[in-house]
Order: sequence, then structure tokens, then C-alpha cells
Amino acid sequence: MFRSTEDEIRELAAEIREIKELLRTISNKVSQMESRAKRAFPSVFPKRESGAKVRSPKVTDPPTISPQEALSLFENLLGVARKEGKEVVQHRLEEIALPDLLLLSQELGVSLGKKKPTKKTLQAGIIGRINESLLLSTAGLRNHQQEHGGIPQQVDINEESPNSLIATSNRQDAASNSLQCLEAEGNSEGGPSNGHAQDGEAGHRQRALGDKDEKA
Amino acid sequence: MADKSPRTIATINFKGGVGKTTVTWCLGEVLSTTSNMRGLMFDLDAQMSLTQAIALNEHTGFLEDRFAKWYQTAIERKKTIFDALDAFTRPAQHFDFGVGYDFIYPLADTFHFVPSVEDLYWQELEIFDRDGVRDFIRRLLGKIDNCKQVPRYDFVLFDCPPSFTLLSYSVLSCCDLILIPVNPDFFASKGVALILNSLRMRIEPHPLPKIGVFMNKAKTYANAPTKEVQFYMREVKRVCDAAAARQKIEAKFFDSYIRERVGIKRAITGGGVPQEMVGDFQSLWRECVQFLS
Repeated sequence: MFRSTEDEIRELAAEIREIKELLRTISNKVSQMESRAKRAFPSVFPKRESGAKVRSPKVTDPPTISPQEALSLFENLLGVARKEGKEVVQHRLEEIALPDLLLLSQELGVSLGKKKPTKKTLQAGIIGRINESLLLSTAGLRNHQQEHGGIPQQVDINEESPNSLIATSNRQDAASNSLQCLEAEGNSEGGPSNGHAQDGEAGHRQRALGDKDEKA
Repeated sequence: MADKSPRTIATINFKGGVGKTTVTWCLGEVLSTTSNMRGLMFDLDAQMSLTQAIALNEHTGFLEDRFAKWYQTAIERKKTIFDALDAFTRPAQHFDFGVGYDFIYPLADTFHFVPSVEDLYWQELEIFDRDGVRDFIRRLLGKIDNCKQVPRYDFVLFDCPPSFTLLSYSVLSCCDLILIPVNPDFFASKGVALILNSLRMRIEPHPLPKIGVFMNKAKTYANAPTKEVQFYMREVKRVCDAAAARQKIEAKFFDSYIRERVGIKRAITGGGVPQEMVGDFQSLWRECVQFLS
């Protein structure tokens, strides 16, 4: 039985401290056992690739590569992304130390928004630049189709091939006819409008202005 | 210099807001004030940004009086670029259109201007024959070259609209250099890839002029482009090289770049190119000439 709530909380805090101490002791013991086991059976435990990774350098540490090397590393990663995919690039980025990632991000002009960005942020920024570069180097759809077997048979209305010019001309004739109809409706006293070729200079400008009015 | 035909440069980009108009004007202004060259500038954009910027009196917000009167007269006398195009497309044997100072507005002694006109909005509806328009700019330049009233120009600049119009087609089929400003961002860079990969098809079967791409609105730090700008400069250069190889065109990404400065936005209406930026445009011009020679 406790005298008050305050006593109860005090007792609880003491128990928590005791448990923490116990866990710390257990952790130390387990670490000792692990290091003994490593010494006895080194092949069972996977080795880390480099010592630098074990120390996990901080963002503030000096980079191990120069700005030029960082840019050539980016070119290298770009090539990997093209040939082997972005997943491989992601794996490659995992292996790069944090200060080098930071330098690479800075050389690529990635906006980080923090003084001490995390590895994930840096990787995301670099992947973003790789994506941009890949998208920029992708040619237009038309070129892509030509490169990958054949030009589509469908007539592209934007392409100015002789056939499409005829098609465009027909469409424009239709547009012209519809405009003339509109003019005729708007100008019932003057009778039907003549064709463009028969219009005089004044009529030509009048038509332009009339078109404006129609649009308005 | 007087016997040479002028160098003709068209500033174009299908993406809006990259600085076509400002660059065209600043380039013309710098060349005409810092060298002994005479320049002519066309505003071919129906949005009339360049015309309005030149005419806008920053203090009153109205058209500058001298230009306003001249412009009104040009419209009344049918001496606008639209009227020239109208005369060219009329079924007649000769291109009957006189050029003089009623068609060309003298901004300064060595820098002249052919303004845009609203009617250009409707030219696409009025004129259907693409090949009929093709030689329009070439013939118009010939008339200007032969006109005794106006001087022999050393350079002619065209501010093209952010779309491919009949006038763009006419300019691109006869100019010496296509100048493409690009901004340091992804969409502008992608726009360069699209324009470079489509220009040849749009001009076919006529040969495409040389294409110079340069970075505009480049942010700088310690008098050099920022790392981000450098990234996009490398990427756009890569795009240019790839397009040149793929499309068999002469496209080059220039080393010169135009810095981003607040003052340049008011350069046309507010009285000139900022002194610190004159060098940028001079470098750009030098590279253009070098590329053309």
C-alpha cells in the first residue's frame, strides 16, 4: 500500500530504472557473447565491406571525392540507370558514404532544404536528377516510334507531309466555309459573302475584322 | 560592312516565358549602342509583347506619344506587317508593298523596329497556303535592303511567337540563325528537346538554319552559374548534341549565358539594358557570329 499518488509514481520510476539497468547488463553480456562468437567463428558472421561504413561518417565529415569525380560518378550512375535500371542505382547509392552523397547532391544543384540532410533525402535528390536527365534524353514519341520499328500509318495532323497538307487544306476549307456562313448570317442585308480570292483589299481586312467580331 | 547582307537571327521557343522578347530587344539594343552596327527588329508575335513594351511609357502607363501617332498612321495607311503579308499573298505578279519609315519605326538612329499588329492573330485563318507564305520574309528583307530611304542593316532580329505560325515558317526558312533561349528548369529543358526534334520536320523540305541554344535567366553565385544552373546547362548541351546527331542539324549549346537580374524585366520599358548585363549580350553575339562564320 502507498501513502499517496506521489509515492506510487516515485516507486514506479525506481522500478523503471532497475529494469533499464538490468537490460543494459543483458545487452553488455550479449555483446560480449557476440564478440567471442565472432572471434571463434568469423566465417559465420558477414563482413562489412569497408571500415568507413562501420564508422558511418557524418554529413559534416569531408568528402573522399573531388567535385569532378562527383560529376563523373553521376555520369556513371546515369549509364547504370540506362542499362540496368534505377534499382541498381539505388543499391549503388546505398554504398556511397554520406559526405560523398552530400557533395554529389551539391554538385547537381539539388535543393536539400536542411543543413544536415539524411541519407534518404540525399539519395532521393540524386535519383530525381537521374530521372530528369533520363527524361530529357528521351526523344519525342515520333522519334521513339521510328527508332523502335516503323512509323505509324496514322496521319498526324501536325505533320506537314504532302498528304496531311491536303487534309489540312480540306479542314481549313471547311473552317472557311463555316466562317463564311457565319458572316452571311451576321450580314443578311449584304447577301452571301464571296470567296476569299474574290475579295478586294478592303474586303480582306474587313473579313479579318469580321472574324474578330465573330470570335468576340 | 555596308555591302554585306545583314545577319538574320530569329529568337524562337515554343515554351512561353523563357525570355524571347527581352533577349531579342536587349541584344538589338546592346549591339546598336555599343558598336557601329545598325539593326532592325521585327515583332512577329500577335501578342505584341515587344511592341507594347516598346510603346509603353512607364510613367504614364500609356503608349508613348511619338510611337502612338506613328503606329496609328501605319495602321491607317495599311503599312503594317499584316498588310505586307496581305500584299504578298494577294494573287498578283509582283509583291507590291513599299517599305520606308512609314513601315519601319526608328527607335534610335541605329536601331529600327517593325511592330506587330493584332491582325496577325487572324493570319492563320486568312492564309491557308503554307508554301505561298514561305518567301514572304525573304522578299520583304530584299525590299528593305534595296530601299534607299532606310539604311543598310548589319543585323535583323525576329521576335517569334511561342508557337509555329506561318510567319515563323517564313522566317525560319530564310534566316541565318535560330536562337533558342532556355531557362534552367526541367520543363524548359524538355521544351528544347521537343523543339529541336521537331524543327527539321516543320521546315522540310527546306534546309534548317543553324541553331544556337543558350541559357537565359541563369542564377549566379560568386559570378558563376549556380550548381543547379550548371546541371541544366550540361543537360541541355547533351540534348543539343543528341538532337544534332539524330536530326542531322547544326545545333550548338552556347557557353554564353544571360544572368537573371531583376533590372532586366524593366529593361525595355524602363530605359535600357542594365550596365552590368551588357557584357552578357556582347558575349552571346560574339558566339553567334563565331557559330555563323
